[in-house]
Amino acid sequence: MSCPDKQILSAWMDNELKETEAERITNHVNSCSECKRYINSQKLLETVWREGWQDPAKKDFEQMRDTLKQNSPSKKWWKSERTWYVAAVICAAYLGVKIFVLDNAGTSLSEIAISETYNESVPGSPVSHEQEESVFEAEIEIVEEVSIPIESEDEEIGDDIAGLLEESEAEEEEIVFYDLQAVDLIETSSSVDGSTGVSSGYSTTAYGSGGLAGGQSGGETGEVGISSNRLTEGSSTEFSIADSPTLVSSGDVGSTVSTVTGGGGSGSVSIDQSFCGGSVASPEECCDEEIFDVSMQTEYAEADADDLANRDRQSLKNCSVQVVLSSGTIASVSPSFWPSLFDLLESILENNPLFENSEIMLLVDETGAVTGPGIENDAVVELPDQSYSDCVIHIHF
Amino acid sequence: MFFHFVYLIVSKVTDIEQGLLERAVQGDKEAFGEIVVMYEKRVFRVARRMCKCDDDAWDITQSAFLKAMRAMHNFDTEYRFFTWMYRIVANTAINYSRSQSRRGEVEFDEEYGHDGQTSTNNSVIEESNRSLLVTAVQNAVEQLSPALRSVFVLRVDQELSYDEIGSILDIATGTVMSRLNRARSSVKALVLKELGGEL
Repeated sequence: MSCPDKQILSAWMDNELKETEAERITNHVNSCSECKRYINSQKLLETVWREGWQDPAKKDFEQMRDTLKQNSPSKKWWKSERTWYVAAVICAAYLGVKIFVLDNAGTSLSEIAISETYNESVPGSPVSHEQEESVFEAEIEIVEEVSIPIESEDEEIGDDIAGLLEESEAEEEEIVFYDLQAVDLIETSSSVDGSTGVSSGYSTTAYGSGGLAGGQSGGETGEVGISSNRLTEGSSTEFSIADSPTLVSSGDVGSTVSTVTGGGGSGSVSIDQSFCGGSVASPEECCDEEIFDVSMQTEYAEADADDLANRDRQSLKNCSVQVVLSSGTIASVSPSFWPSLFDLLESILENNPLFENSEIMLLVDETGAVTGPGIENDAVVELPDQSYSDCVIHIHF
Repeated sequence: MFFHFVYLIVSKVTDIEQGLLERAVQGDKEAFGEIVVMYEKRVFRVARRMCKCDDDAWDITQSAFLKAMRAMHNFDTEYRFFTWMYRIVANTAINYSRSQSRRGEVEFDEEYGHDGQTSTNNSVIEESNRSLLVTAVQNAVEQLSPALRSVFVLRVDQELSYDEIGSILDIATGTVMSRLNRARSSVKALVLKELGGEL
């Protein structure tokens, strides 16, 4: 028998051969001095290397453990006091801006309260005008009925109120149903002619508390973003460009971005969504049978390259920038007052066309470090004034 | 009786380890710290065998444990922890090596392909200084490409089976076998070259 291949000898040495094969090689090695020498020298070399190992000193391991402790991931974000502090500041700032700036200033609190209550119960829903009125009237009626003297027809009025409350609850249930279809509220904007190779692209924005937002940028490769805080897990989204066979991508609702490759030419992107329930639905309601198919369509037409290039700048000119100072004061700022902030905003728009026609909020700390959507980790702006430290900036692009 | 005693000890140790792992998966950092103590020597050894100096090995060890800690919530306690840890440390070391210069690495053994025909003489090895030989082998291992080196270290130093190595490195058993053969041939040839003698 001729000498076996070194690979076989190697496997034989490691007891990795099948029994019959191993037996055959054993017989050969026993009778072949060449193979025996090869194996012995190999084993010796490896044994000397293996046994020559010396563990490092204990203190080295202790040091490593200390360093590991220092570098270990910080405690969970929701356990951090700072997180809650920041969240509280954001909420307070948002409410402040919403009530005093975005809503009609001077509106009485009671009106705002009624309006907010109504908005909460109908989050972003495409409820018809008639339905809106009926819900509103129902609430007003409750107030009016309660103000009727109760001495006369106690029981009757009580029944009426109960009836109205039931009616109101029934209305709310229906509203929940409508909320599931809130994604119908979609606006599309902008466009690009893929054949010119112009970057940018089109953006798709869905308004309402249905909370869907989508957009694409780039020429041949782009991204369609779907973000939703309203849709439940298990939803799925398919993206396709109707007249382009190159585009294939899919992503889950709730995942921020799905990459779309291809594009170019004219056509449309359709996002077909099947989702089960919405965040307002209770787990019991979110059952397999309750599937809603919602189709969203974004169309894009040809656009002039110069228009696209100037778009960000124009958007920035028109955007309103409100600053909520740590004292609670709200101020509007202009590019000449805070140039470094506007430079930053330009870069946000440049990198995130998705933010167009939307509102974002940034936090600026006492060092000028900025945090918020679309912001690089190390972004810093020069503070125009000491009072602008620790402020919240609300931008409506 | 003796085997029963050994079995009891082994199963007790396994239970303790299992408990620690379950706690670590839940995010218990103290439990993870105890796991680090249990495995640090083996992890360091693999790391050191796969890189060129102690400092690199400490970096790799630390980095591997950090990765493990971050991914611990994904660990399935039904699997062997050390197989999982091997995978992390081996990949960390491979990536680390790849980020370093590739100069001088031996990818294939063509250059040294005739080592099997070398006349072997154990007396040379027996007479040579063992520490010199250990250093020569370590130097030779360091010259291997990361792909060959990881297979060599896991088999020769850690004495894992081909299946285990394949699972850790995510390669087929046949690939393990061929890479190991190439690594062995290369190491032997490089040692001979360094020591200037015959084995």
